[in-house]
Formats: sequence, structure tokens, C-alpha cells
Amino acid sequence: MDTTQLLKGVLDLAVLAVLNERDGYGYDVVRRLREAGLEDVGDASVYGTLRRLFQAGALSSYVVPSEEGPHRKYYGLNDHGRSVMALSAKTWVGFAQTMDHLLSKGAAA
Amino acid sequence: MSATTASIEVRDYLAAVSRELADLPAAERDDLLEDLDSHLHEVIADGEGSLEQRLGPPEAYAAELRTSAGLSSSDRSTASLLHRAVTSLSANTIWRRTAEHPWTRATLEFLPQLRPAWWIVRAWLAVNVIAGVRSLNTNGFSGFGNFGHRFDLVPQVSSTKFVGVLLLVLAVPISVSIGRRTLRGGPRWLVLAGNVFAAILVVPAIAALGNVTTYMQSGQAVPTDGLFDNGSQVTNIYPYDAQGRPLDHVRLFDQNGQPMLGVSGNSNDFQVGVTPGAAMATAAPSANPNDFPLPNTVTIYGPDGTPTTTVLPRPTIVVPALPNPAPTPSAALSSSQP
Repeated sequence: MDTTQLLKGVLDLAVLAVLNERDGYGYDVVRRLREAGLEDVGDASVYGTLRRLFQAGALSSYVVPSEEGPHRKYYGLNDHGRSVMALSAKTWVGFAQTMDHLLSKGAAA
Repeated sequence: MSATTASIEVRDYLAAVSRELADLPAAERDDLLEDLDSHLHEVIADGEGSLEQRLGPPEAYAAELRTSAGLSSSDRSTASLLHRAVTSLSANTIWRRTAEHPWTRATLEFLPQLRPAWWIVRAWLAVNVIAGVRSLNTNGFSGFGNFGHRFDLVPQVSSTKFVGVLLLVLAVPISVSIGRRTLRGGPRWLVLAGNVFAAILVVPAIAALGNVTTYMQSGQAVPTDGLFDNGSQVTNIYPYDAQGRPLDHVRLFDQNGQPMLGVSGNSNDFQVGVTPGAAMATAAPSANPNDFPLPNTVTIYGPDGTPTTTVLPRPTIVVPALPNPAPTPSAALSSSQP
């Protein structure tokens, strides 16, 4: 199955989850998602998702000067972002359980 | 990789991505790309390989950016809004549905194949225009007044059909060559103007052709003046009364009260020897074309072109008297030609 298609639907939640762990800048989020196992995640997708979540008011941002390169814009969840994440997580868990149930029934048959 | 080359690479990649998003409103695009410069620097500093190798072509990157940022459609720009409005408006009209109907499409695809036929039609129209202008010069405006009736299958440019045929033979290849040159890009505006003019002329031409009651027979030009009986020309009429006596100076009128005008001259002319042009010059008009029988004359040209005109006697037609009271049709009238 093409994981990039699956990823499209849950990328928002994945990014929110990563930022819920701790704040991060764009490329940092990409790297952490890949380290977590989502190797196929697109750089542009993460960048665009961060911008969109920020525009939607789910994220706050602040600039941190970097020694070796340009300034980094860090993103973090605000209250709205945390509630969005809680809601999305609930939806995902329900969906995942339904899929698990379907697949266990298919395997048992 | 040095910092300078990295900056150049980031700059180029960023410019390419920005170009792909050129349809977005400037503020929106700038906002989206605000942090991309530093982001791309992070990417390039992190590992090996060029940006294109690691992120794919900038076009794909821009598309992915657009989708994930929720900007898949550029519907916030005025131009695209207008475009969408026009599209959605016209999409619902009957016109649009008609235009997209398979039959319409099939017809439109078929039309270009008719182009060669149009080349021939417009050549014919052009010769008809020449005939019409000549008629205007010769007969004055009254003769040109009902332009529609000047259209003939073979246009009557001169007193004979020969000039019309000759012009058609010349005009058709010219029109075809113009058409073929146009396909390769010729003086299009001139051809367009001519085509529009010709297309306008098609309407009266079709109307006029609907009125044509004579048909071209093989090898024979279509006569337009004079009287006709079942499609062949009547050069004279010999009236007889009920007792079978020949009548002179009879005037005939058609169902509209119009005098029936006979054509005398041409068909009775004979040429002896080869004297080009002599025969054409002597088709003398009859004194009164509505005075039957017309003077039955034969003009014979000698080898030196001198005409000798002889009045022929009335043809011998035996016409029985009509039995009274019921008249029966007599076949005698057309049984003989002088």
C-alpha cells in the first residue's frame, strides 16, 4: 500500500504530535517524523502543513538565532492546537481500532 | 559544499519554486515562502547531494507545497475568480451544452474537410460578381437591381457562356492555390476579407439558384434569355387560330402579365469559312421580341466576313381546325423547326 496516500490524511496529526512532544523548526520536524518511521514524508508537505496550521491558529512561533546558519523559526502548539490535536487523536484512534478489528476478522476467517 | 555555492543553489531552487506559484496573490506567496530560504539552507546543510536530488524538481516541490498549505486552487486571485465565474456561468447554458454535444463536435471536426469545396464555391461566386458588375455596366442599374437573379451556374459574363466558362476555369485553380497558400500562412487578412464577402454572397446565390428552372446539359451551356419548352430553347412561335389558319403579329403574355420575349438571331446564324469574330458582331436584335412569329432570317457569312441575310418562309405546318365545341390539344405546333 502506498504510504504517501495514507500519510496525506494524518500528516496534520503527525506534525501536531511531534510538536506536542516539544517545539521544533521546519527541518527539525521533518527529521523527527522520519526518525519516527515516516520515511516517505515530503519536505514540502511538512513545510506547507506547518504554514497552514500556523495560519489556522493552531501553532505559535518564535525565532531562535542559530550559531551556524540562519535564524530558525520554531513552532509550538498553543491551546487551540492542543485541542485540535486531542480531537484528531481521538478520531485517529477510533479509525485505527476499526481497521484493526476489520483486519483481525479477516485474518481469523 | 561551500556556503556560497549552497546559497546560489538555494536561491535558484527558491526562484524556481516561486515561479511555479506565480498565480498566487503576491502577499500569499510571500507569506508561504517567507521561511523557505532558511528551511532550504537547513536541508542542504544536513546531508549530501543537491537540493534537486534530495527534494525532487522544484515544480513538484511547489505543487506539494501548494497542496499541503491548502492552496491547491488559486481561487483567491481576481483573474481566476473571474475565470471560474465565466466558466460556471457558461457551463450551464444551452449554448455550452450544444457546443459540447458529440454531434456538434463531429460536425466541427468534419467541417475542415469541406474546405476544398468552399474554394470552388468562392471561385464561382467571384465569377458571378464579375458577371454582375459587367451587367451593371452594360444594362445600367435597373438590370442589376435584382442582384439575386444574376447568379447562374455558368455566369453570363459576355453575350455567350464561353467567357463565363473560361473565367471559371481560371478562377477555380486561383482560389484553390490561395486556399493552399493560406494553410501555410499567406496574407490571411486579405483572404479573410474575401471569404467574408463571399460568405455573404452565398445567401443570395442559394436563393437565386433555387429559382433556376433550366439545367445544364452535357456540353451545352445553359441559356438564360428567351423562351423554353421542356428545357430546350424555343426560337420562334407560330400561332394558328382555331380554324388552323396561321396568325401574324401575335403578342404573348405569361401568367404574370409579362410579355414573352423571343430571342432572334443567334441560333439562325451560320458561318461559312473561318472568320473569327464575325459571327458575334452581327446578332442583330429583332425589331419587337413580342411579335410572333419573329422574323425568320438566316445570316450567312462568306469567307471574307460579308453577311448575306435571307428571310426564310414560314415552315410548313399542317394545323387541323379544332373540332367544336371541345378543344383538343394539337401537337402540330412544335413538330417542325425552320
